[in-house]
Amino acid sequence: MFTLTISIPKSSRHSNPNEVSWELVHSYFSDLFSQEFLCVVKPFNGDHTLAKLYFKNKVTFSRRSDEFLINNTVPAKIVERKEEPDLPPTISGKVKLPRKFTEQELAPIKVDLDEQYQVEMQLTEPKLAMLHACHPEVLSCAQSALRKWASEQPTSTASRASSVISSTSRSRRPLFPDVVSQDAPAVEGACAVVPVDTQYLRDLGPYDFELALNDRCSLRVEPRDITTLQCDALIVTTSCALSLNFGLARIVAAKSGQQQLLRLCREALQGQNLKFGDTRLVTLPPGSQLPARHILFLALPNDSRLEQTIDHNAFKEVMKDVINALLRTLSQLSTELGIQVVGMTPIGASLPYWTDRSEDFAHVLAEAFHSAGSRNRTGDLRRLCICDLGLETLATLGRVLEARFGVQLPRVLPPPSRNLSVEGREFASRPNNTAAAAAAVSLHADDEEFGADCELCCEPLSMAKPAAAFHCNRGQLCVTCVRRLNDPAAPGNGLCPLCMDRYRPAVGSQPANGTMTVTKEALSLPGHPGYATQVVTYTFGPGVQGREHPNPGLPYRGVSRVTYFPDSPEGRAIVERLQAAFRGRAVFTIGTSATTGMDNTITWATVHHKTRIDGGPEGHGYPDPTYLTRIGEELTALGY
Amino acid sequence: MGASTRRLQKELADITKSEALQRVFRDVQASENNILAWSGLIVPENPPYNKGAFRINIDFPVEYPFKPPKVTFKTKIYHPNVDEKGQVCLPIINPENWKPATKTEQVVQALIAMVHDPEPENPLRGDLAEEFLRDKKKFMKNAEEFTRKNAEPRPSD
Repeated sequence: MFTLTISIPKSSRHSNPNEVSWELVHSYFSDLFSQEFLCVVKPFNGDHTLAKLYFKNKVTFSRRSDEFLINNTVPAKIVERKEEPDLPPTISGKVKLPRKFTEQELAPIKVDLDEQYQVEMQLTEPKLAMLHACHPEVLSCAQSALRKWASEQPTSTASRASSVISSTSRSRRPLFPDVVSQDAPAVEGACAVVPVDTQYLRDLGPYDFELALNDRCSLRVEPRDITTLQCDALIVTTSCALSLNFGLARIVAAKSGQQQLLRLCREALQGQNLKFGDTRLVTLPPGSQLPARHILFLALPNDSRLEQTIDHNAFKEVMKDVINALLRTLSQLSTELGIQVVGMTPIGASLPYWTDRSEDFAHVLAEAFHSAGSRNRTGDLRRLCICDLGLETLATLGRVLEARFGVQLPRVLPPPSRNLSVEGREFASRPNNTAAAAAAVSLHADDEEFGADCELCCEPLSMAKPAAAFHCNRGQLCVTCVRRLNDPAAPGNGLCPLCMDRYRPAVGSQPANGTMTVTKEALSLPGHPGYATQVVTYTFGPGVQGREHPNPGLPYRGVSRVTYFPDSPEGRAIVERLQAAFRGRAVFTIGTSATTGMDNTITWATVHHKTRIDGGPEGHGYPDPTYLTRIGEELTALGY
Repeated sequence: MGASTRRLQKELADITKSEALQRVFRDVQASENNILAWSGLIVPENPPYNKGAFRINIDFPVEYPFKPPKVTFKTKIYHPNVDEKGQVCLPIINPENWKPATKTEQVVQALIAMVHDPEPENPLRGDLAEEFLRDKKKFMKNAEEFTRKNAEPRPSD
């Protein structure tokens, strides 16, 4: 038996130590020492910055100093190494339960104990549970967790029904069990099962979402262990010599045959080290446990020497070039090798140079994604997945993406329709489950359905078509429909389909080739003495109808209309609003003319105009005392 | 296959099961090779149209539900709000008023309400609207006769 105690100090980026979740520590060490690893206790001794790791035998952590980075992201330090050779292989302890429990009731806590502490639980007597653990500390943690759980269960057997309900709702554990509320009461024992602080997660920012980069390619940001991601290519940052000795590269090597991968890397290098930012594609050998097909190594050494050579802004420029080059490479590979789904970590987030300016990596990524998406430089790529277990890192990226793309991203995991994706994420809970859990991640991740339909198109929501936030969020709409609703070129009345309130001004189908000019005439309009006249001229050339028009493909004739408004404050306000409505293509439409009965002509939409100076309301002219009020109402009805 | 396919399949299933429309809207089906083209039989319960049945087509645009469907009468009907070509002026499917969340069931309900209670204030046939307002008896007689002559037979059950 060997134990390591590590401290995970507060850092600027990971300001909340809870951020570094139990799962992160667990998956990192279980991957690194898959043979020897037993379990993690975190928080240790009630301290959230401490974690204690238990191993079957002594493990050597070959680093020059005791400081290291977990998953290349989270700084940590070994505070104690301890060899405890004389312990028996397992230690047992008893917990007296407050009442009789059925096996069914005990099932969820059994799973929890097993997954979190590798502790086996048996019911030896009706009210006595026996626990078997690898270490006395682990045992006492598990005992207190079980005691706490048992004391929280309904005491009377009469409330069996409610206990069944609570056990079903427990069957999905919170994703981040150790994100605790700050003022949670201290519970006896080293570890306490405390409620997830959902407010903390909500305030953090968006960390689990999909964002469309363009029509074909989307960006998926997801808190998960990237080595469980089903993808065509996994981007792994490493040194210029393609070292497989640290970070993600080490985990990838352990899972896909260290020697074989090393040989492939040597072949890829051909005796020459890579330059900063260069990439090399390696196809994973058969038998690899990774669900990815290829590895794209990116030479991005975690090297503090860089800081001394260039200044901050120059470094940012260098990183921009690196990410842009990476996206170009991916787009090229997508057409050449059919690489469609790509997994990557938040590249740059772990570089020591940026730790105190934590948003820089996000700005560089967001800018690169935005420009690749908007210029359609994504090739045949369908999805870029950014995975990390550090919620704050993902949320930082999420907030920056929100600002750059001008969208609102969803904040909290919407229960319960997302259960499937949560289940997919309950990956390496213990070493021998890893392979099974990875296999459980559907081979066709795109088809994973969440069990709910989009309320507009009625298509099932899935990984490929997730729900997106829209206006009042009173129902679930898919990304495709939300994109259509937000498309500034797509006609629509601007009312939210969920609550029927206006979410934007109406967009009409007025032909795009028109102009609207305003000139002044000194003469006054009848009914508006003392004011000059604004002459508003609309001109449209001939054209061909688009898909938003009644007869797509058929031509329409050009038209010119002259209309009049008083140059009074009220009249000027109306003309200003008309200009906005004109930009929103809402003044004219194509249809059958009400006056001439001709098809395929440009006609007035819903806003009435005065095409003559005189003649009164019957002759479409002035005087008409209520006209400006009416046209104002007509503009309001369109949202202008 | 358009994005609207799934919604239309669901709406078609819903409308077939609809209790409100059970008696008055029958024989609804989508075209064999085009889910965007539906047809159905309106079976009015009020005079003067309760002596026959009226076939309608519902055509959905590719952009449905972001654009409204079009409803046309294939059977001739003597009605102020339906023109000689069978075109209908129904506010609920007016492009300016259209709400993507509106279901076809509601559209058909609005259409049947309009058939039962003509709205002579917004006519597509001014002559019939005038007759409806000036001489309701004559309108009813003419409409009944027209229905007997031109409408389809009512389903027997």
